[in-house]
Order: sequence, then structure tokens, then C-alpha cells
Amino acid sequence: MFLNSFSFLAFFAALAIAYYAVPHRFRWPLLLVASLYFYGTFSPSYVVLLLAVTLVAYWGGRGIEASDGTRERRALLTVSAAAVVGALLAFKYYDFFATSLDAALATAGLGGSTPLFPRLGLVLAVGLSFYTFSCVSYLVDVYARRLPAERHFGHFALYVSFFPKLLAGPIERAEPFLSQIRRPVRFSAPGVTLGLQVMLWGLFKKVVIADHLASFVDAAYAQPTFSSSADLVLATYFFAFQLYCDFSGYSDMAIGASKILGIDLMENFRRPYLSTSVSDFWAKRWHISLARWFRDYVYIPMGGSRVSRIRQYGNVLAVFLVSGLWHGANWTFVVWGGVNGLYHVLSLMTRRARARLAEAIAVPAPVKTVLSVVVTFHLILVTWVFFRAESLSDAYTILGRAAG
Amino acid sequence: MIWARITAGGVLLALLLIALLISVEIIDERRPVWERLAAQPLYVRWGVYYLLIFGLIVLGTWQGQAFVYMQF
Repeated sequence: MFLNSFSFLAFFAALAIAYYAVPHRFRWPLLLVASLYFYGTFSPSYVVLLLAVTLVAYWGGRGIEASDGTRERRALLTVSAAAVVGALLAFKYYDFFATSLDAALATAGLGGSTPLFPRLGLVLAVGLSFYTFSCVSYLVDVYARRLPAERHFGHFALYVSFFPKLLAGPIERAEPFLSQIRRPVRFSAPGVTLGLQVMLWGLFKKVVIADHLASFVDAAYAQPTFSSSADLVLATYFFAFQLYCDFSGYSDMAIGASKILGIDLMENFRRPYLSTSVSDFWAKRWHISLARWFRDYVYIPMGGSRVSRIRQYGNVLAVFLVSGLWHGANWTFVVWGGVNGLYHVLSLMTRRARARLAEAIAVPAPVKTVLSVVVTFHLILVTWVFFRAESLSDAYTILGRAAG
Repeated sequence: MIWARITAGGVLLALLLIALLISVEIIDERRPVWERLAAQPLYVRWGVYYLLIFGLIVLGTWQGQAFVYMQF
């Protein structure tokens, strides 16, 4: 059941009415059953995987909290987080790595006629990348004593499976979500109105803007060698807006639906194409919940910016490469992340020089802002080619033809 | 020639939709659109809702196109 379907709108309307009709103590079971049903409409087997991941994270959190020794706590964190991430790795990346390793061995002349690594052919369960990240953030927060382990299994299961955010985020943190479902929600007309408005705009962005643009993009990117340069350039511009409207449209629908139920989810987009720099785009405006997740659970634990400059650059690049790979088991995403990482490193390296240059050139502030927005947009636009292309060779073809 | 290309096959509509999106975002950057809308009289608010709903019905794709990020 997609969020942009009549069946979802009917399901949600019925659920919202029931939600406000029953007393507080029946609301979490109602939302949990609705969430599992919603997920089960994709495939009942997904529900089993979801519950398995939830159980591991729940017991992991309880276990970490109950143990005193640092070594024991760390071992429990490692085992439970590895089990959760392991599920993601197996479903999403195993075949990709097996194929890549076999190809590398064949290139080195070491491969036989049969592949060394068997393929599993597992189908990635929708939403797995998102809810496993929610579970990892919870486990790390409990380990770092930023958060007590949740005792109520039902509440915790709802945190992992809450249907508006289940398929594609926002990647919520446990504390704000759990504290909201504990307290009774009163029907608020302004809250419901705002939720409906946000849902309406999100739906419009998806089914009107994104889906209209998609037809051009799909046609041009399907066979780039047979598309004209002008079509490829136009399709790339359109893709920038298609992707934004598609994903922010989804996020708005999730945030709006949740708001109607009296639960606030975190902001995921803040007008990204008005960013005045690439770091502004990534740090504050595009897929905020994922960027913060990588900042808090990968970048800062690696030392963040409190290390030597060279190490910091390495950290930034590593985070962007991993974040690229998170988007999909394809080298196009790795290059996409790598190019964004390079942008970031270059902007860190040239920060002072750029500030001096900006001071030296007497340009009125509004002109400077517009120029920064246009330049940033085009830097990001180049990376979207890798994001959208079916393969690296397609991406190079498109970039080459667009430039020529 | 260029004009013929732009008006053909919905490119003009695509450009207008992008222009609408950018306009809304620029307005939103200074003060949230929903706050501005709440300060408007009833007929303006409902005018906007009806325009959006009308757009959904007339221009919307309702074949259940998957969301891009659901594959990730």
C-alpha cells in the first residue's frame, strides 16, 4: 500500500477516526496493529523480519542497560548492532559484494568458471534501510547512557514500525518518539488542519510534480546514447526536481499523517535548492534525518572535526562514501557519495580563501546569495547524474554529451 | 523551433510546475507558508485547498507510482 494510493487514504482516514474514538491506553495497540498490517500489505514475510529486528534491538537495549561492566556493555552493543546491521547487509549488499569480488578475482586471473561466492538472490525488504538505522541509533543511545532502555515492548515496537515513517523515514530518534506516545493525545483542530495541509502539499508534490517530471527523465535516461544532448540536459534538471518532490513529498505525507495523530516527526527537508553552499545543503537542508544520523553515529565517533585536518578530510570522505552505498548496492551511488564528499573536503580546504574573495569583491548581498544558490544547485545537479544513471558508463556518457 | 519543443509533450507544464515549486519555497524561506495561509481570510485558504485538490485530480498520476526512496 503506497502513500499515494486511494487505499492508503481510506486506510488512514478510518484509522484516524478510530484513533480519536478510543481511550489513550488502546491507541498504541491500534497504531501497532495498523502499522504491521500496513507493512504486511507489501509482503507478510517482511513483518517477520521487522519483528525479528525489533526483538533483537529491544533485548539488546535491555541487556546493555542491565550490565555494569564496560566490556560487557560494549560486547552486547556490538552483538546486537551487528545482528541488526547484518540483516541489512545480507539483504541489501551480499549479492553486490559477491558479484564485485568475483569480478575482481576474474580480472586478476584467479576466478574459475563458476563464481566463488554463491548468490543469495534475497529481495530487499522495503523500509529495512530506514528502520535498521532507527534501531542502531537507539542501541548506541542506550549504550552511551543518553537514553534509558525502553521497557514497554509494545511502545518500542511502535517506535520501529510506526507506519508513516516505516518505508522511507524520517529516521526518527527513540527519545522524542517514545515520550510522545506515552502521553495522551488530545484532538487538536489546528494540529489536524496543519497535518492535512502538509499531507495535501506532499501528495501534490509527488503525484503531480514528481510523477509528471518522471516521464521525461525515464525516457531520456533509459538509453542515453540514443537521447539528444538537449534532452539529457533537460532530463537532468527535471530529475533534480523529480527526486526532491518525490522524496520530500513522501516525507511531508509521513509528517502530516503523523501530525494528524498528534505525533511530531522530525523535519526531513528544508528548501534544499535554496542552499547557499554544498555544506548548507547537506548539513541543514537535504534528507536531514539521514545526515544527522551519519553525523552522530559515524562522523563524530570517528573523531569528527576534533582530529588532524587530514584525518578530518578522510572522515568526511568515508562518511559520504558509506552514505552513498547506503542508497543502494551500485557503484553509481558510491561515486555519487564520493563526489559529494570531495565537494565537502574542497569547501573545507578553501573556506578562508573563499571568505577573503567574498570580502574583496564588492557585490551586493542579494546578488551574492543568488549566485551562491545557482552555483550550489549546479554542483549538486552534476552529482544527480550518478544518482539516476543505471550504470557508471551511462553516467559518463550523459555527462560527456551534456558537456559537449 | 525551441518554442515548439517547449510547448510539446508537456514540457511547458513541467516548467510551470517547477516554477510553482520554487516560488512556494522562496516564500516559505522567509516565513512558513502555512503560517501565512492561516492569516488569510477563509475564501483564500479554501481557494488554495481547492486549487491543489483540482490539480491532484486533473494532473495527478494515480497508477500508484512507487516512491524513489522506497527502493533504498
